[in-house]
Amino acid sequence: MKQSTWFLMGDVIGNLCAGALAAAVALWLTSPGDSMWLAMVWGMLVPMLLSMPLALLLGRYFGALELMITMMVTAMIAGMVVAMRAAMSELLLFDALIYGVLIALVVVRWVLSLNDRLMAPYLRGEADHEN
Amino acid sequence: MKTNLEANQRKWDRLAPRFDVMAGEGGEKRWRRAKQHLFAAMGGGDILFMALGTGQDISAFPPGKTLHAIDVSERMLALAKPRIEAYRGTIHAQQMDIHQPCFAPESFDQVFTSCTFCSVPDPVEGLRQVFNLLRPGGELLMFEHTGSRYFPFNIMLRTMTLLTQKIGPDMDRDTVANVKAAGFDVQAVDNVFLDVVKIIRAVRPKAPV
Repeated sequence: MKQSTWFLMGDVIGNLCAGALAAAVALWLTSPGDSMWLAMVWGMLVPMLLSMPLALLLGRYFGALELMITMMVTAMIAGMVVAMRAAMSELLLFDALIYGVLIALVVVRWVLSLNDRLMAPYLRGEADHEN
Repeated sequence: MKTNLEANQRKWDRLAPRFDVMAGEGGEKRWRRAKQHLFAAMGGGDILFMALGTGQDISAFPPGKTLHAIDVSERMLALAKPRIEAYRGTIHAQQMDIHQPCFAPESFDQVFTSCTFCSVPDPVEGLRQVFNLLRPGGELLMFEHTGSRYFPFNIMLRTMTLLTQKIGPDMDRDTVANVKAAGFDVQAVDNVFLDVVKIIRAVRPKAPV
């Protein structure tokens, strides 16, 4: 299998885990009735601080920037939903996982398509591929 | 200035034992083909490789070359020794700060960098020194990570730099603009990953600028 395919699988799995982790952090830090803005701040800052060491711990097999976007967006949305659901039932873990999965897939797809547009043509199929 | 240079050297000496972990095996594998492509341009003239670090790039060098390599950190070079010795060619490595080079002007035909100018404290001044070290018509070939002009990467990289510059590199430098500001003629900028990781090819013009 091409090395780039392994990296793509790694990126998707890494981002799925990052999305789930960020949603869990947002659930932990945010309570129903909290300020939506506070929830957004938690959602932006905590995953940003978490994603770099996470990427380092994983040997940077996963792109740190994608991890960061996934975590920030997931945590922000999960945090906001919890905050806004003051009068409703708490956000279920399953809901948070769904957000994480969907956002991770969208982020990876978006980063890959942007990268395809930007990458030098002679490096396509060469920069991160095995022979 | 001297205090800044000493502080920079101390920072990289401190980081040296953890540098391979920070640089990351995964990152090296991702960029390996692009780096090999760049280093394949090493010719038969006098070559300088800047910021050798722990020597992670050496395995991507084409075999049989003779080159000079410098790094600001003595401890990095001590860790690079096994990789230098394993290289099938000759690498003359020495501790040196690019702000105060010990080589005579116009000593080199090619200068290579690999994630170097994210860390040089005064990048334009450092690049001016590189300019002086190159012979007219000499090439500067760089593999660098820079800031991005795309949202949200631009904001993320700027924010990350507030933290990373304390312990290591800046993440948001405009290295292409710095290369131009130092007097080089930029011939090509090839993106490797988004517009963040890139290969820059520049030449010291033959006529005075």
